[in-house]
Amino acid sequence: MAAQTEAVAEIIGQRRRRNVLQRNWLLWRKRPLGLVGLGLVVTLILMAATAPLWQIATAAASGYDGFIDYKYASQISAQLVPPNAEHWLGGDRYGRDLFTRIIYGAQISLYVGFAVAMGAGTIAGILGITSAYFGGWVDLLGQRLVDVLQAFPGLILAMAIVAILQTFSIEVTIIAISIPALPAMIRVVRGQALSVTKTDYVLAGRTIGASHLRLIFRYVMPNSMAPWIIVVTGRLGSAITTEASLSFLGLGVPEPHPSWGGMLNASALDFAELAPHIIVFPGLALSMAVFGFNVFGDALRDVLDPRLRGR
Amino acid sequence: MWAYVVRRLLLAIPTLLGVTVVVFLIMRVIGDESLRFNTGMTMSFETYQMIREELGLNKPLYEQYFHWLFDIVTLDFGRSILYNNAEMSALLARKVPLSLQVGLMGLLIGSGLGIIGGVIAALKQDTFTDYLIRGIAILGISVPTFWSGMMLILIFVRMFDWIPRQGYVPIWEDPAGNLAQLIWPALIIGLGFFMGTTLRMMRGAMLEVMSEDYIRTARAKGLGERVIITRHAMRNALIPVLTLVGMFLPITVTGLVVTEQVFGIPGVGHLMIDAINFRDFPVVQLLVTLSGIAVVMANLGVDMLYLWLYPRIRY
Repeated sequence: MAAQTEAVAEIIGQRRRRNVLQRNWLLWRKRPLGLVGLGLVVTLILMAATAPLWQIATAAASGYDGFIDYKYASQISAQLVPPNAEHWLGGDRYGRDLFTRIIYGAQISLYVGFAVAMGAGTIAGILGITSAYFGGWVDLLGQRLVDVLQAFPGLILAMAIVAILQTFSIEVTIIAISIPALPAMIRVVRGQALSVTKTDYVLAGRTIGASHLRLIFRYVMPNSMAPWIIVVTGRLGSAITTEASLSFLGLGVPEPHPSWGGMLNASALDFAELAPHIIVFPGLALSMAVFGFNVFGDALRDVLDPRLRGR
Repeated sequence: MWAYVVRRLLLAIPTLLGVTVVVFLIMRVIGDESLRFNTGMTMSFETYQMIREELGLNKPLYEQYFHWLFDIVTLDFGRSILYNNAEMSALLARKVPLSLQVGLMGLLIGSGLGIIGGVIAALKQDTFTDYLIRGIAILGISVPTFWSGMMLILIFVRMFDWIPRQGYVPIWEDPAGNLAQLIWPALIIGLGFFMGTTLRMMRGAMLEVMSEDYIRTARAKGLGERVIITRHAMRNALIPVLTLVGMFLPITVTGLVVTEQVFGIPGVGHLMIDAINFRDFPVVQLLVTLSGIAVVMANLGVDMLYLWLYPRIRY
């Protein structure tokens, strides 16, 4: 009996000794694909952060000493050259170093991805929670507007927004991608907040006289966070794809910015027959990035949503 | 049931109206700008006023809206500035079937393979086959359609010396030629996002259904595994998947815009990009509206399909 209790205590004790990181590691270890995703995301962030260093290295490799940033510099000698010692991934059709541009492309993809996820995520979070919390005609009207916005195919709406703003820049691209991303996010947050608003502890909070603001920020919001995090991370991959699609169509991030989608612009296909590397490498980078964010988001969803564990 | 059908139809009306209001409000902002562009930058104020009057741009906004709404409802889509003042409805009659064909073919390929793959993955849960199929699915979702399309063309050109034909042959004139041309963009659309998402959804739904009591009952009464899977499990697992296929329509349109550009297919997506590049704003306005209406209608169709397929779901 005593030994048994001891054993139980030991097991419990062991369990207790695991801290948050350890427990999370256990959950992640069972998801090798999620770890691959995490690795890709980290690689992407490192690429973006160390881009200037790479630029120095690649410029040195080809002996470039011009005034223009190397990522923008056209060299006739590098036009469509296949990968070699001077240009590690070859040169594009304007004779710019493809490797340097792909490394810098990570900055644009990450910037757009995180800006859309954070910006649209925050707006959707606020709108979703207030809509659910206050209910009534605010909710009704808001939800009808969400219905309407959701009726438009994302890329079409984004294209229309670019057409309206009549300017091409990274910021316009972010706005154009964010607006179509809102409805689905609002839906999810509102759904969760709605069920939280109906719980007893919110009622208890209301009974002790908590203000609306306090109820929203201290009661409803913390308990609506998990699905919010899931939709926001889920958006990262699709935001990057949409940016690439827009840039591919010539409606997104403009030249000479090194956007992966822009490098794959439709006219790139005309040169690709001579120099396949100009579409192979940017596309690979783009696909790996989106793949990384997608599997990472999936694993994160599994970890955060206990109902999906063990599936 | 009929009460539900009527209610559902009535509910779609405010959404449809909302779609037109949103598009109208958005597009009106650039109205004047594009007018100045399309008629040349140098024009006298009088000419400008005259053109405004001719197009009804000097009327109050609500009047303009109702005028435009009336045109949409009566299928009078006006004329395109870009395509030599061509009648829009004639232009669309030529382009819509083409895009629709590619989109539907992609949808069929993608959801068909996705459903089959999802069932196999679910039945072989946590085996190598399962991981392989799921890996392919995630890859399909992650690789952008325009890049896979470009790679396909590149491989064809480099290895088989084959160049995709530009332009378009209607299917009733030359079925083989039409299919030979359109099967590739359809494959690219279908095998990417559609297949991946359907597959994952189908796998999840299938796993859930297979652990239901009625499957055990079916096994207990001695039904063959094949009958259990096809008649009992798949039929019920298809419910959530059907919603997904309905939700695919907006993505089809998105995929079409990009894929048409890659393969040089003169469909609706192509028209949209041309219209944006040349600031032909009535065309952009029309296409955005029609895409919104199409999505609302598709969702309506899926809801009706539910009623027909699953009598158990009563509203």
